[in-house]
Amino acid sequence: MVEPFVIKAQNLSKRVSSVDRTAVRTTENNSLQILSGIDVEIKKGDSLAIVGRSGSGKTTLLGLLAGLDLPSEGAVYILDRNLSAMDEDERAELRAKHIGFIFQSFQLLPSLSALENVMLPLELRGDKQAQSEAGKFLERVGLSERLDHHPHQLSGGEQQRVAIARAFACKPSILFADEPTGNLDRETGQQIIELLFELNRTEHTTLVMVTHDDSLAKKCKHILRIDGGRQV
Amino acid sequence: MTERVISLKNVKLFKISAKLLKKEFRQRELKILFFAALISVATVSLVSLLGDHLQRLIVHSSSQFLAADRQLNSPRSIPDGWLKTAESMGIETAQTLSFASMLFAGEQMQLVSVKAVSDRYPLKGTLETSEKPFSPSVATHEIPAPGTIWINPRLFPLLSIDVGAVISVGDKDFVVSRVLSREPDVGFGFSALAPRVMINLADLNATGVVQPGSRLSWRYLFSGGESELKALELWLQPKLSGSHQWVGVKEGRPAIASSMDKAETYLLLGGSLAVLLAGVAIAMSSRQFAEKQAETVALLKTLGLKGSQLVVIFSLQILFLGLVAGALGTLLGVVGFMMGASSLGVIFPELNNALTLHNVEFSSLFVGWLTVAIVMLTFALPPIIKLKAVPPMRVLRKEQSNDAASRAYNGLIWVGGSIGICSLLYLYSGDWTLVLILLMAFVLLSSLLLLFSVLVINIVAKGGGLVGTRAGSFVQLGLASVVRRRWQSVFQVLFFSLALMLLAIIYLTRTSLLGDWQSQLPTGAPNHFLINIAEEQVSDVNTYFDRKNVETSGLYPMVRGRLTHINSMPAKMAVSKGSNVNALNRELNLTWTDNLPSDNTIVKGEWWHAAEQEKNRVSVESTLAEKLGLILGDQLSFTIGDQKIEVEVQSIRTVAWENMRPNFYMIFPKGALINFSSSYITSVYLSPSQKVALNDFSRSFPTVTILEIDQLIDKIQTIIVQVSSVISLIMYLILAAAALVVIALINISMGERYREGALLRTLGAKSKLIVWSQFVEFGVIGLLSGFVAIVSAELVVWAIQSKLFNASFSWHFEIWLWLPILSGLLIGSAGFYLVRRVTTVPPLSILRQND
Repeated sequence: MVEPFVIKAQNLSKRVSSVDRTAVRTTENNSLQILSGIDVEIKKGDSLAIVGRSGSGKTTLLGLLAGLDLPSEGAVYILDRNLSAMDEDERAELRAKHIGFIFQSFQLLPSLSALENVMLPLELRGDKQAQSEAGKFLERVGLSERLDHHPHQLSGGEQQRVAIARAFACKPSILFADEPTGNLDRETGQQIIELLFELNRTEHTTLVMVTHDDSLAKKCKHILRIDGGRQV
Repeated sequence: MTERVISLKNVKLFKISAKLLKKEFRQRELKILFFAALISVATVSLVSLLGDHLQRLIVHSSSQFLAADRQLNSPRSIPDGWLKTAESMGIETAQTLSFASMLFAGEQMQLVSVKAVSDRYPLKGTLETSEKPFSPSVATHEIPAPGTIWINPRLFPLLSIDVGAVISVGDKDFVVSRVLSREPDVGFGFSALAPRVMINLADLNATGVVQPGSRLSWRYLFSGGESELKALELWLQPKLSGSHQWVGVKEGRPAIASSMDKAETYLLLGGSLAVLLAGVAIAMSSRQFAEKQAETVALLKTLGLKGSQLVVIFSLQILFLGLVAGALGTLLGVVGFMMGASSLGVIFPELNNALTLHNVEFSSLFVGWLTVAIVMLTFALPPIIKLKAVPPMRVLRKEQSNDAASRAYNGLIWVGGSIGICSLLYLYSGDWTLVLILLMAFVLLSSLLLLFSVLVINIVAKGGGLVGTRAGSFVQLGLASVVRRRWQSVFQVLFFSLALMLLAIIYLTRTSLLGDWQSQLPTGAPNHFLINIAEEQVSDVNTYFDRKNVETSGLYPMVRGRLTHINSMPAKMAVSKGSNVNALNRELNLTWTDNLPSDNTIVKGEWWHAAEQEKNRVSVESTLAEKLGLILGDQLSFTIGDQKIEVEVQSIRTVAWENMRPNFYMIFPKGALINFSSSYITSVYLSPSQKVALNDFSRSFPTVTILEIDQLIDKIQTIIVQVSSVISLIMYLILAAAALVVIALINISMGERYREGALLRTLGAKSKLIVWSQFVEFGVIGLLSGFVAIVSAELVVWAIQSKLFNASFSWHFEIWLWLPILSGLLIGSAGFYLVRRVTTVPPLSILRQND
């Protein structure tokens, strides 16, 4: 039996309008081409690293694959559903059910405690056990003592652990991580990666990760290299 | 490094500033700052120009009633030197002498009030005469030539004479040359009860009627520049005795002036509130602007710019915005004034030439510029100066500076703002009481808010576990957000309710002010007074008006008497500063009635009932009672003619003086005065078409004096309409300023809300949840703000009404309901509208912006 594709992207392109006369790769109608001709296919439980230099379009591709933005051309299918054919609310619903995120800059809400930050996506899907579930995941990332602490009271590594707990608390099918160790020192970064891959294994999550760290990329089953907006 | 600093000294800071401003003006903060400054200048210019104009109208109308700018009244002639001194100061003078005398025309004789006038009379206002009795009158700049006399139209039928007849006053014969229809300084004193005749002052001695001991009333008229008149007053004051009365603009003003005065106070109040609100918006947006500039500043510092240079760069931007806002605001103010004032000019056509652009008081516009300078210096600049404290490290790490320097700058912001608020309020009101009232209101509001926020957080928190965002439903998410961002919520409620309170104050005072005026002068308010009606004419006069279908305000008997003793002590001794109480220096009009006049209200004691009528009682008007220090039960002695009566104060009542009906300081029971000879007084409303009937009335009742005040009432009513429309304009300006505060305040938390919204969407929240939760959050805050605002506003309005306008106060419970609901809906919608963008922009772009 052939494993179905969890994410499938065909001929993805992204252009943004630009009036910046210094832009190198401007097309005739003054738009800036960020991505072109990207094809991606990821099966359930797989892990994919998107690598490339700064400005190569990695984060844009991640955003397109996760439905945070729409491609100019091409299509993205998540669990066989075409994201371009959905409206924003439908995409939001899909994210709520199936997708988790980890960001380079953690993106925790400063006015919420660690526990409340993890509870947030659970509450969005109406989980009555939000508080206890969130508590469990914070315990798994080693922060059971810091439930009531606010982001500004936590170190960078601890903030990213909260973000990981938040991402896994909803038991997503797919986890998108944008440079998850980019803001951390090497040692802390290493611990975060181990935690991430361990949870990925135990929770059977599909992982899509943007990184410029080759050693981290090698931990993934597939690597997609991008240069100048093109797959290489 | 030294070279670099030197080269940077040569950097054209102005150019950098202009370049940055061009880019930054797209930011909402600078737009709010600019529009708030614009509104301040426009409001202040408008209010100040209109205030000056109203003041001019007051002075003008007062002068008309005085026939001069100032009057000196005296029972004796004054030393010649006084007039000469006045003239040497460049002040125009004229004089009149009034006395009662018998007028003879053949066998007929009649008691008249003679007014002998000098050249140049009247200095202000105009005399009106006609060629024949009861024919249309025209204005004249002449006075009776020596040997001629002008007489009241009523005297023609009384004496059976025509124009050209010869009549005599004392030893002198006069030729009747014109009919005297109207004189400017007739006043409302009802002193000229006998028909008026006017002669030239040069003929006075020839009449021989002025003897030592005669009852004379000299009036010396002065007209000239305000500073000269003040100098004259200063020079004269030490020379004046108790029998002299100096009548200035204030004392000589007609009832119209108090309406204009209230309007002016109101405009000032409204204007200062609008500026205060705009100041709040400016302070908030400037702080927000400075915060957004922190990274640019840090970057420019790493490039070698000094803190002071950066302050210059950003201060230049504020200066530039201030200049443009000042220029445009002034223009708007002048345009608004020209529109408002040209309609006011219609009321006093003689002032029309004062309404061209040349005569706009450009000095009034200075206040607008002073305002923008204060506002920019005290509200906008301190947060900009704080940029000095931004550490260049911020380029590398987003950290807030919180060292001693930064705290000192925060202190500067607070001190600057406080100085700004106090100086603005004092600039407009010139009245520390008003400044104090408003500051007290602010303190009160802040205390109320603290209580409220604690209460709200407790209630919502007790509502079941405070943990989490309650992101399941937008209502719960919105409510939870109010609690979660508790200090932000408190801050928002504080400023929203401040804005709403100011708006409510101005609305409530406007409503009661307009209501006050309209109730005083409803359509059909009496516009003619009829005095000197003899007792035997009362029923005929009543029948006459019944037949014409004209309603009178009731005929009141009038007996003239002097208050001599209070509790057996001479009145002037019994009252501290007794000689200054005018009522003790003259005869009062006393009346009697069994029924309390409908617009009088008993404030102390009880009205007498017809059945239990006591002869020795009196009801006293409340302000006079206060001046005389009277309380219930005091014994008052009056001298009427050569008789004395003694009465006890049974009640104290308020009187609606401006209602154009006969009003009295002292009312007696019918029995007390019935034996004294009296004349009657009434007032009626006559429409323009009915006015012709006056001639007929004068022929039927030649002894009755008619005071026509219909033109005056028309003027008052037109002014009320015009002033109301100006007040509405001020309301809109305040509303705009309040809206700016709301937008500025929501704008402060916008970045955080966008980020939060984007993250919620990333985590799968639907747009409906996000925007409606904003609606709920701001709606709840608006609801609370509305409630706090109306409670505080009522207290402030109570203080203003009783201290500033001397008006009565009543609660406005209907507003207690709709203000909170309306503010909840409006502020909720504003939040909804301003945050809606979060659902139309890809969440990725917002998350990246905020990285």
